This record gives sequence, structure tokens and C-alpha cells, in this order.
Amino acid sequence: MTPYALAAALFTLGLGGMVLLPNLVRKLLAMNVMQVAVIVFFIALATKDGGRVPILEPGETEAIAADFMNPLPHTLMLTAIVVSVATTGLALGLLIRIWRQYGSLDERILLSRLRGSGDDATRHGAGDDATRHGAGEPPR
Amino acid sequence: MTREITTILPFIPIGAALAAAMGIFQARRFPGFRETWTFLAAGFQLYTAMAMVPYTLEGVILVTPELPFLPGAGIQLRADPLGMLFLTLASLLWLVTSIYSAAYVRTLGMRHRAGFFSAFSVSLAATAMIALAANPLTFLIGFEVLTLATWPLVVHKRSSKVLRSGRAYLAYTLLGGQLLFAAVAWAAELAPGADFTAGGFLEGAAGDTALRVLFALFLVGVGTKAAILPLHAWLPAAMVAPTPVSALLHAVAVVKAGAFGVLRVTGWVFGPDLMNELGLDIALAAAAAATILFASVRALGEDHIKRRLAYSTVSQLSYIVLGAAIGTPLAIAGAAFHIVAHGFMKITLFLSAGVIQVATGKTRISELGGLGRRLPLVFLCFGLGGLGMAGIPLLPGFLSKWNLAFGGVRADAMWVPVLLVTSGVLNLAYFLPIVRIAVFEPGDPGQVSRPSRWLLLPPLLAIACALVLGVAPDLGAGFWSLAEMAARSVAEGDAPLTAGTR
Amino acid sequence: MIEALAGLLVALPLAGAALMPMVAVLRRRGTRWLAFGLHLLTFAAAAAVFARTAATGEAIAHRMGGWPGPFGIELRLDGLSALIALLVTGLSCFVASAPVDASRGATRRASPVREGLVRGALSMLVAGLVGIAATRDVFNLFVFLEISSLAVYTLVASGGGRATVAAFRYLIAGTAAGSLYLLGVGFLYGLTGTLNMDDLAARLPGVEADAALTAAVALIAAGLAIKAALFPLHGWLPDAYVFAPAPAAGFISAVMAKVSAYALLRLLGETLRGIPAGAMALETMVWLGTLGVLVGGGMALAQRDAPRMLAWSSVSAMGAILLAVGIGSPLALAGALFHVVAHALAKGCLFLGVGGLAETLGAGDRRALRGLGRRAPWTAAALTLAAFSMIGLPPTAGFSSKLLLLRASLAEGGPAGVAAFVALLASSGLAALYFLRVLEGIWFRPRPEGRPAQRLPRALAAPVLSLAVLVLLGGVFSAVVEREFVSGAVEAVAGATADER
Repeated sequence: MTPYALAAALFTLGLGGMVLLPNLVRKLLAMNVMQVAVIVFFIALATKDGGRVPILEPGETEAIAADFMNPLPHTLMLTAIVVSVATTGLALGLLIRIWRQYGSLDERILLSRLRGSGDDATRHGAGDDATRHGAGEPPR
Repeated sequence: MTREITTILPFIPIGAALAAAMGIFQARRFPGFRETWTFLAAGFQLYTAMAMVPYTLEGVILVTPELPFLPGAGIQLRADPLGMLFLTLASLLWLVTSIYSAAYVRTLGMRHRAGFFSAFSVSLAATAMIALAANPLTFLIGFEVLTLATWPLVVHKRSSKVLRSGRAYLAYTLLGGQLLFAAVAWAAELAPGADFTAGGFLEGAAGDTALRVLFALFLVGVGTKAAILPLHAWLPAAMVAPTPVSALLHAVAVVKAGAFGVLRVTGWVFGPDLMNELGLDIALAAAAAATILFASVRALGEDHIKRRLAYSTVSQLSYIVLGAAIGTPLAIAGAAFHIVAHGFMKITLFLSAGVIQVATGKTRISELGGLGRRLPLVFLCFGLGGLGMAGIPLLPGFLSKWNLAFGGVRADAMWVPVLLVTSGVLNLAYFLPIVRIAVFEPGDPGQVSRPSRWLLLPPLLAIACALVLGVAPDLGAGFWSLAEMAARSVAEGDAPLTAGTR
Repeated sequence: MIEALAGLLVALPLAGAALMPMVAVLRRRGTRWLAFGLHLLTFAAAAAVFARTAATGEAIAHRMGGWPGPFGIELRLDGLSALIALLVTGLSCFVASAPVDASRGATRRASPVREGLVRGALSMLVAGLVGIAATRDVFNLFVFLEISSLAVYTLVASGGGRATVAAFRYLIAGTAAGSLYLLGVGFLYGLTGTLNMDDLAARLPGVEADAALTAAVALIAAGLAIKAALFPLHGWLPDAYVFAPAPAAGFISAVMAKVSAYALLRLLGETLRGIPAGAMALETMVWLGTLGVLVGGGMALAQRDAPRMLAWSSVSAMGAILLAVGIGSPLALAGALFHVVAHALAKGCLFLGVGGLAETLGAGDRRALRGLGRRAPWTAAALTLAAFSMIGLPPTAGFSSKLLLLRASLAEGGPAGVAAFVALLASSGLAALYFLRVLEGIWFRPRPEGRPAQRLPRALAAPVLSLAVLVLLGGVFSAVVEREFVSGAVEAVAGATADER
């Protein structure tokens, strides 16, 4: 039961962090925690008491499925980890660009700066990366 | 007895108008072509309509093949008597208005003429589609297209004030259109694939309450265009449009399409029996009566000529609604004929008002003093039109009112004649003073330019037609016979002898 | 032979995704046409697959790596999947034909890296979306979901400036959605020991309906609902749509959320339909969709900025599609799919057009569009048609889809059906108000003083016009669209659910 409880705790923690933490880096970390929770969950599914790694010993010719741990969730999670790494990489790249542009990664500060820059861009008819501003706040 | 012939003929009037719209837009750099196209299309539409009328009078109903649209819903046209009555009227008045518009845009030097004439043609195509629609879906499509096509006409002057009025116009007619959409979808769900059927097709299709709600949806949908109280506010606001547009809106296209829709819904979707059973006839008649009286009183207080005419339209169209509500054959015939009668008289009034405005720049009744001697023909037309509205014998309004009144008496509604007489008196009270002020009151006519004879011709033509109709309502297009046939079919049903087309 | 096409449909754009950055850096000039050709080729493959499924009524299956049955991953395109693949690949051609920075004026050309990145991301997005449509494996679906999401984050971020922040927020929401979905898949796997959809559908009725099963359904539904922008999980949508640069935004707004809606339909409407929790999720979806229709419409009315207004109207449209998926009758599904097609065409046209114009002007205020009718009548006419379709006015495709949706909600009856009916009507009314306000400016108001003349870049004008023509044809020939495209797709789902019962 323990690994499931761990997964649940991690998932809740991650999800809560993503929603509540104001710093974007922390949000990203929380996101990673959540992804780890899913991985723990899948691995926990695969384990069984006394189960072996599903590789035949030298000389072993007959395999009984009940002796082995389920290999499929492991392979699935390999893929999930790849996805998670890619996402994290992209997110970090975005964060660098945000930092360079706005000088902050705090959501609250960022919001106020976005609003300011949006107004300026419209007023001066700024060109290139001109940010359009809407009437409403960006919905959260 | 009727029988049906499947043919593509009913598509032609619509096609002609649409082709004209495209031709005009293509030829937007060649001024002469715009009017030529319009005249050609209007003439051709009238010609095809007149060619179809004899069939209808013989009891032969021309039906197009059904074009599939969605499962259980196709697009189909059916030239039944009521539809032919409306189509013939519309194409005849389109021709009259076209002559007038051509002279009007020249005299006033209006801009955006290509768009103006194209939108005009599309409106007429939509009107023809509404007239001949064989089922609610086809009707709805025509109805929505009509709304959109008349919008550029209403806001033709493009000023902020005009655009605001245009918004009011759209808000009413489009939201009304949405409700009609809902009603059509609902009806399609209750009676899949049903066509307009004389005497109605919804009997027993759903519970009483559901049918009442459906009726309300239908009526609000078409009633918005027909300007039934309290959905009338857009009509006076839409008077910002150029005069030929107002004339078109009132006499044939939008408002008339709404009134026509009320007749279709009451006679061909619900049927008088079902309406009576559900108590809807009384509700509708009450709304119509209230509208007639309210609008007449409001018209009395309006000093702006076109706005007074607008309220008069609100009131007159509710005669048609009243006839639809009473539902006896005589009442329906009267109501159907009133579509025609009102069309000719109202177009006379509007075109005359337009001539006054073009010649003198005056739009208010109190400024008309002394003009009677300068523009005698115009005020003659105007006066005759006003008398016709009041229902004076020898003018077509008399025939429709007479039948409406008797239709009411047959239905034991003794208040109907009383209402009609009261309204007639009110009509006289708001139309005659216009002529009286112009002819008898002294005043400074100011600068009066001679109106072009092409501006004068159309109102004279229209009132001449009206006079002929008042004496011989069946001459030419057989309007009265068509109205009578339509009314009879509602009472008896017009199930065709030939099977297979539906 | 034709089975290989099913695999090719995913492989081709995936290869394109890898290829594009290289080509862009090595040989700048050819990139655009190579990309266009590749998308066109993918579209041709999709069209061939679609034609085959439509003709035979049977699905085309491809087993990855030759593994059989429930063990291997199966790509299978039935009528529904093929329709989605056709729509995705078709629309991608329109977008790929334009230069990366078409909306920023002819003078600016994208740098090779940027060109490669954006073109690669677009290819990858197509691969992911087609993969979602084709796969029959719930875990593989997750992978494709993430592939498409990663591509979309990149595309949004390529707008620069505020778009980066929007992309990050989208990434957070999207990854949360993916994790929720994956967790749900884990539950399902634990309960049944299979990941194949058909296998799941066969085994699930035998599984005891306990909390784990309910949790699985809830997690999967919640995860996909976020991606499909079901109210109240739509928060990511407006910013992402608004800040994405114009050519890409046209594609994203047209198909992104809809493919997730497809996944919802596949899983909830087909695989999980047999179990009580699945039915409950569908019912909830009807209500939430109804709310989304209203809220989206109301918010759209409140916007001053044209792209943002369009984005909110997408929330409304997704609500309409999802509520019909929730109703689930063949008529409702026909309505939903017709709406998917109609809305994708019209919204793609509007986002390409308005986005392109707004960026040339430097501001998205809808007043920037004033006077367009005089200046560029054809563009204005195209946008007008698309707007009519959004409102649901004849003779456009939106009219037909709305008619189907209204009839479906009436046929459903009950409080949910009536609420959906009223909401759909109200949203049309709202759409009429907010679109006609813009159209009035376009046609009847003069260009504001001191504003530069709007001109849609030529490279965007062609897609905008062709999409508008499709919107019109889709309306006039509704019967053809219904018969040839939608009905086969509906049968694919409705037939499967009928078998189960």
C-alpha cells in the first residue's frame, strides 16, 4: 500500500504546487514532482512480492510469468520520462526567455509588468515583438 | 382540386435576382449597367411570376424537386396560391421601385450605388425564396438572408446615427431570426421532414404546453419582422434608410415577409383548428388588436412623415396578423389580400414622401404648408393612398377590411368590425391632415425643385394599380382569386391528387 | 499497401519535424516549399485513407512493428479517425503554405533557426494530432498528446514577448492534463491489464465498478477536458490562441482543442461507455459544455480585442461540440462533427485573417479593422462569410451544424437537453452581437485617421480566401458534407457502441 500512498501524496503535492506557487521555477519543479508521482504509481503497479526481474538466468529455459515482475509499466515509464524530460527542457528554455525579457519569474510581478508593457506597446505602436494587450486579464 | 407538377420553374425568380446581384457587382465600374441589370432582373422576375400565376389559378401547383440539405430536411419551393400572391406583388413592386431608385440615386448623388443595387437584388431573391418556400427550413434561410441583405440598405448613409439605428434593426431581426431558427429546428424534430401543409401539420405532434411554447417561438420569430407589439421598435428606427429602401422594406420585403410568415405559420404550420384548440387564436388576435390601436395613436403624434408612415405600417400589418388569428376563410382571404393592398398603397405613400423630400428637402409634416400647389400630383397620390389605408370603398383597402370584418363576424367576434372602423377613423385622422396642411394652409414652400419625371412616374403607377385593384381586384395577376384560393386551402386542405412528390 | 499509409500518416510529418530545422539551416530558400510539399503529401495520404474507409466502411489498421493483437500498438483509422486526420492534414497545408512570419509584413524574413523551429514544430504538431486520431492504444495516445503539446508550446512561444509567458502557462496546464490522463491510464491498466482500446472495452464490463474505476474515468476525463478546453478548464486557451503568431494561430485555433475532443469522444463515448462512471462523465460533460457555451459567448462579447474575442468564441464552440459529444446520440455526434469541420474552417480563416491584419497594424483592437471593406473587399468578404458561419447564418457551414446541434439537443430532451438548446441559441445570439459589431466596422465605417492602411499579406490572403470558399461550399452542399464526411464517422462510433449494448 505504501508506494500508492507515496504516489498519491506526491501527486497532490505537485498539483497543489503548480496551482499555488507564484514562482515559475517552483511551478516547474512542482510539475516534475507530479510527473514523478505518476511514475511511482506505475512502477508500484508492476512490483510483486518475490517477483524477479524478467530476464532469464543463464541456463534457464522455462519461464513462469508469475515469477516475474511486470515489465510493461517500466517500459511505459521510460517513455513517460522521456516526455517529461522534453517538457522540462522546453519549459526551462521558456523560463530563460521570460527572465531575459521581464527580469522576473515571479508571477505577480510578471503580471504587473505584462500589463505595463502591453499598454506601452499599443500606445507607441511598437513593432517587432509588439505585445497585444486585451481588455481583460489573461484568464488564469 | 389541386395537383402538383414537378418543375424547376419556381427557382427562376430567385435565380434571376441573384444573377442580377452578381452582375451589378461585376459591373460596378459601369454605372449604366447597374440599372440595366436591375430592370432586366425585375422585369424577368415579374415575367416568370406572371407566367406561373395561370397555373396556380387553374389549381396546378408547381413544385421544384427537393434539394437535399441535411437528413430529414431539404430545400424546396412550391408555388402555392399564397406564395404566388406574394411573389407577384414583390416582383411588380420591385420593378416600380427600381425605376424610382434609379432616379433617386441620380438626383441625390448617392454613393456606393453598386452595393446598393446588389443588396436590393439579393433582398428580392430572399423575398422570392420566402414566398415560395415549401418547408420551414427553406423559409428560414430566406428569412435570414433577407435580414443580412437589407442591413447594408438600411445603413446606406453610413453616419454614426444611422449605424446605431442599423444595430437596433439587426439586433431585433437577427435575434428574432434565432428564435425562428429554434422553432424550425423544434418543428423538424416533432414532425421530421414536414412541408408547409394547408391546415397545419403539427396537430397531435406534442403536448399542449410544448405546442404553445413552439407557437410563441414561431410568432416571436416572424413577428419581429412583422413589427407586432412589443417587437416594433426597430421599424421607426429603420426610417434612417433612403426612401426607396423604406418603401421596399415596408411594402414588400422585411415587414411584409414577417406578416406573410405569420400567415404561413398560423395557416400552414399550426392551422386554425389547432390554434383554436390551444387558445392561441385569442392571444394572437389580442396582440394584433393592441398593435393596431397603439400604432395608430402613436402615428397621430409623429411629425416626421416617414416615421408616421412607419407607425401606419405597424398598424396595417397587424390587420394581416388579425386575419391570421381569426382563421375563418373570409378573414384569411382578407388578410392575404391586404398583403397586396397595403403593398400598393404604402409604396405610393413612401414614394410620394420621397419625392417631397427630394424636391423640397422637407421631412416634417408641419413644414408642408403651401406645398400643395407646387406638387399637386404628389399630394394627389398621397391623399389617395391615405384614403386607401383607411379602407374607403373603390380602393383596395376596402376589400381586405370588408372581408376581415365579415370573417370576424363569422367567428362571433363582433369586436372585429368595431376595431376596424375605429382604426379606419384613426387612419383618416393621421393621413388627411398631411394633405390638408399642404393644400390649404399657407406657408413658405421655400426652394422647390422640379422633381424628375422618373421620380413621379412610380408613385403614379402604384396608385393607378391600386385604383384598378380597388375596382377589379382580379384583373391582371388575379390577386383576389389567389387570396381566396389560399384561404380555401387552409379550410379544406390542399392535398394533391398526384402522389409521390412527398 | 493501403495499410502502410496509416503508418505513413504519422511517420511522414514526424520525419518532417526532424528534417525541417536541418533543411532550414542548410538551404533556406527551399524550406517553405519543402514543408508545403510534405504537408501536401501527408494530406494526400490522409485523403487516400479517408476515401478507402468511406468506400468500404471498414477501418484501415496498421500494427506498429508487426506486433499482433492487444500487445502491440495498433494504429487504426476508421471513418471518424480518418475524418479528423483529413481535417488536420488539410488545414496544415493552408498554414504551411505561408511564410513563417507572413503576418509581420513582407520586409521581415525569419532567421533560419526560427524558420526551422517553427516549421519543425508545425510538422510535429501534425504528427501528434494525426497520431491521436489514429492510435488505438491509450498509452500511445498519451505520447501523441504530449508530442502535439510540445509542438504547440513551441509554436505559441514563437510569437515572442508575452507569447512566451502564455506558452509557459499553457505548458503547465497541458502537462498537468497529461499527468492526470496518464494516472487514469495507470488505473485502467491496473484494473484490466491492457492498454488497447478495444480490449479495454471488452474487459471493462467484467470489472467490478469500484472507486478505482471511477477514479480512472474521472482522471482521464479531467485530463482530456483540460486539453479540450471544457469549461471551467479552459483557462489556457485565450492567451495561447491570442499570442501565437498568425499563421500558426490559424492552425492551432482550428484543430488543437478539437482533437482532444475527439479523444474524449473515443474514450468516453466508445471505450468507457459501458460503465456507469463513463456515462456519468458524459452527462457532466453536457452540463459543463452548456455552461461553456454561455460563458465563452459572454466573455467574447466583453472583449475589445479582436483575436481575444475570437479565442473566447472558441471556448463557446468547444462547449457546443463537447455537449453534443456528451449527448452522444447519432444525431448529436453528426452535429458535433459537422461543427468540428465548420468551426475549424471558419475559425482558421478568421484567425489567419484577423491575426494577419492585426499584426501588420501592431494592435489587435477591433477598430483596427475599420474600413477594411473599401480597402480590401475580398478579404473583408472572406472574413464576413467566416463570421456568418460562426453565428450560424445561412448559407454557410455553421448554419447546418447549428441546425443539427439544436435538433440533437431537442431530441435528447430532459433538463440537460433543454438547457443545451437554450444555451446554443443564446450563444448564437451573442455571436451575432459580437461579430456584427466587427462587421459593421469593416464594411460601413471609415478607416480611422492616422492608421496605416490594412493589407493582408499576400501569402495569407490565399489561405483566408480558400477557407472562406470552403465555409460557403460546406453550407451550400451540406448534404454532401453530411453524407460523404460526417455520416461515416458517426457510424464508426455509433456502430461500435451499438455492438457493445
